Amino acid sequence: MFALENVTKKYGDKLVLDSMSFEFPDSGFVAISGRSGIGKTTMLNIIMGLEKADSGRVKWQGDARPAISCVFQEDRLLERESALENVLYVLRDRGEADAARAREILTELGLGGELDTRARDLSGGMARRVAIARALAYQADVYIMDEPIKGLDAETRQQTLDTIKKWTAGRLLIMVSHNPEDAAGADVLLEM
Amino acid sequence: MIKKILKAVIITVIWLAIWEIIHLIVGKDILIPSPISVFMKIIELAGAGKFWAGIGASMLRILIGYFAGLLAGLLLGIVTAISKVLDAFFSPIAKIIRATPVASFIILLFVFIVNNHIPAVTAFLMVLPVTWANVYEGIKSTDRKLLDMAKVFEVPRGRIIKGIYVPTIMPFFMSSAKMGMGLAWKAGIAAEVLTNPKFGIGSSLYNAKIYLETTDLFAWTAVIIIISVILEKILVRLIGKIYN
Repeated sequence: MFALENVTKKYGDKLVLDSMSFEFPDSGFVAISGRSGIGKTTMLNIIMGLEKADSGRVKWQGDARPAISCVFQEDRLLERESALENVLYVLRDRGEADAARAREILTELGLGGELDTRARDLSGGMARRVAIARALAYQADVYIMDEPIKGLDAETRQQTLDTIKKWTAGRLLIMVSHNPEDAAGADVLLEM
Repeated sequence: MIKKILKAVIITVIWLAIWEIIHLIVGKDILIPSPISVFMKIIELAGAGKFWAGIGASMLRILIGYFAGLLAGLLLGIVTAISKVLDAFFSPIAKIIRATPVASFIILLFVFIVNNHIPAVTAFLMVLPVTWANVYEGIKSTDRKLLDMAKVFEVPRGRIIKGIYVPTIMPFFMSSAKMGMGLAWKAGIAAEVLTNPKFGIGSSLYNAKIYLETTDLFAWTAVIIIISVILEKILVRLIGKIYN
């Protein structure tokens, strides 16, 4: 799908990524781990085009960057909009099919009763799952998730992980997690 | 609710009593008329067609200037927040408008435009910089992380404006709309006092002053305050409806 080629990134004097190279598969589950501040989020931001590498590049297969979906470290929801509206916000045509997909994913994540609840009125765990639902409802080639299940209780974590794996099957899922259990079943493990 | 109304009534009665006491101490209607005579004067004025024509004319002039100021402030706020070049180009104008006294504006406007239009232009100049600065601030405070989210999901520009920029700017814009109403109303009436159009609250204030009709002066001042409070209440309700 794509590869990082000698990507280097510095913030001031601090070297965060030092000539990093890595080839991502076309599909499957890539789990990324490593201590805080090692540059995991920076690497993801560079892949998504939110930050520029000081040197090196992201080499995409083909001419254009494929569709990318993401769960950021923060929820990044539209506070005044409902859970459902937040998911629909990023979808391309927002027709009946998109709405049905959004409802289905939200329901699978245990938010069937909160579709019309404004994001600002949701609990932290619920808001997190709305952010995950938004990413899953967006049909992409690459799903990037930066600690998506951080803060969820043990039972919800497993259920959410299962939903993530189900809806990203056949695509490339890149997931950062500090919890080794979350990486169980990963096709590739990238230790930074 | 009843407790709140009762509290407001008690406070009003106390202040009216203080006013009456001052009136009795001074003992001259030409200096401090009694609240009862001011109230009776308002009733008397309200019976005349000229009273309502004056209020209508003042409101029309000032509201035209107010809404024009809101619109221009909104547009200038947007373009200066988006473009550094336009920001640098227009920022001296904003500083000049903010620093210039209202009276200077009114006197300068005498040279350039018809007297009747001066209150509207004055109201416009009061609202413009407040709205401009607030909208600018609103756009600059837009959450960068939400914009990044929209970028990753390739959200169309129109949807970004509606979903991210507008909700961020709205509280800033609404606060300037509320503040601007008070400024426009007071400055517009002041401009009417100085320009003395045929119909207008400011003209009635001016005439009351010329003929030393202090009761009229107090009555008109009370009318100005009442209209200002009503306009603000309507605006706050309207803002609440739009915003929620």
